[in-house]
Amino acid sequence: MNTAPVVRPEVEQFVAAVRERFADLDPDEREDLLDGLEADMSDLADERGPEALGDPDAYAAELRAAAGLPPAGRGRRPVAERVEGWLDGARRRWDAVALGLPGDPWGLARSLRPVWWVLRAWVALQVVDLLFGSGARNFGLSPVPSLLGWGLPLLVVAVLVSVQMGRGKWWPGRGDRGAAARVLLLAMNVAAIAAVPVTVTEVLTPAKVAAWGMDEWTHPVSDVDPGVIAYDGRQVCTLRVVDEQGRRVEGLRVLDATSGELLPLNNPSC
Amino acid sequence: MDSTQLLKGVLDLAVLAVVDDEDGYGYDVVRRLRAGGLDEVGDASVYGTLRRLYAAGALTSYVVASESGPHRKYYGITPTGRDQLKTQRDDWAHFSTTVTNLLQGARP
Repeated sequence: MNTAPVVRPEVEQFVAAVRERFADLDPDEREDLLDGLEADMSDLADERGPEALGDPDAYAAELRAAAGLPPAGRGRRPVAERVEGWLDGARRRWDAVALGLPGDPWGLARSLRPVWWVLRAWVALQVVDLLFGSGARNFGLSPVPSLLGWGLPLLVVAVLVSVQMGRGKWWPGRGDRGAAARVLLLAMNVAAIAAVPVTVTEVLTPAKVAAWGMDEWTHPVSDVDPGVIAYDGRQVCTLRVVDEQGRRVEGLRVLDATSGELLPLNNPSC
Repeated sequence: MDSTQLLKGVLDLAVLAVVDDEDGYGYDVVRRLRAGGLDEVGDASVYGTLRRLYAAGALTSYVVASESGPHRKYYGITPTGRDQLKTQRDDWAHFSTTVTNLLQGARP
């Protein structure tokens, strides 16, 4: 069977951190230094435990010196470096906790990442719909965001973008991402996670009609007032325009096509 | 005396000798150096040395795929590397004999 090689997440992360520290080298030189490193570090971690991986900064400096390359240049801005140091540290602490849990829940979570990539794309479009589309018009949200009819194609595009970012193919998710891209990615993911509950609640809330209450009521036709509308032998006091899902549509009027006159939606004489 | 300082000077020689004995990938070379008594050798120093010797033409490299993990980069010695090993081995023998003699002469 042709399966992708399994690399411990700590090793993957360590090699990525070392790669970051070779950002100033030319790509051939960098790949030459890094080629085979995952296998070597995997052996090291298997034999002496993941703690033996040590500090990527010191490791990268030692590797450069032994390879006869100049020490890392000062090309990168200190702020970016500090942010990256903080992010790396947070990630290491997170991994230390997550990898210590029994039953490898982190491994399970990692294999569910594609599900999250799809979910966050959907949430992002629902938030747009909520703020500027159907939500802003009080129509409520539907499982496929309506977005003036562009919901489905936009959802396909959003899922594609999200998955490509998740796979590390597109900015800001790309493998060689810098501090700014990492912060942006973190912020977008946190925002998407925060938006999940409200989005799901909005989508699951049925038509606004139910929330507003069914306020149409009828009278028997026997005491029909000539000034009110009658249907099927009964008079209709209040008209509501709703869509297919029964959600109330505001701002519309009902025209009597026979007379060419607008009908009153509320009849005070009922 | 700090033996890591001494080691720096002869790491090329030690690495060439190990690879001349049998082709090996990075961590395997580290393991063999340690088994040979160089306990303090740093992984990154060895990998860097392998890369530098490769860039200088003393070593050749090839990739071996692994079914269970990432591919391994093996190093083997080239004729240039063998010449370098011979020269450095002679230099080392000469140097260590000289220093040993000096130390013996300095004995009270």
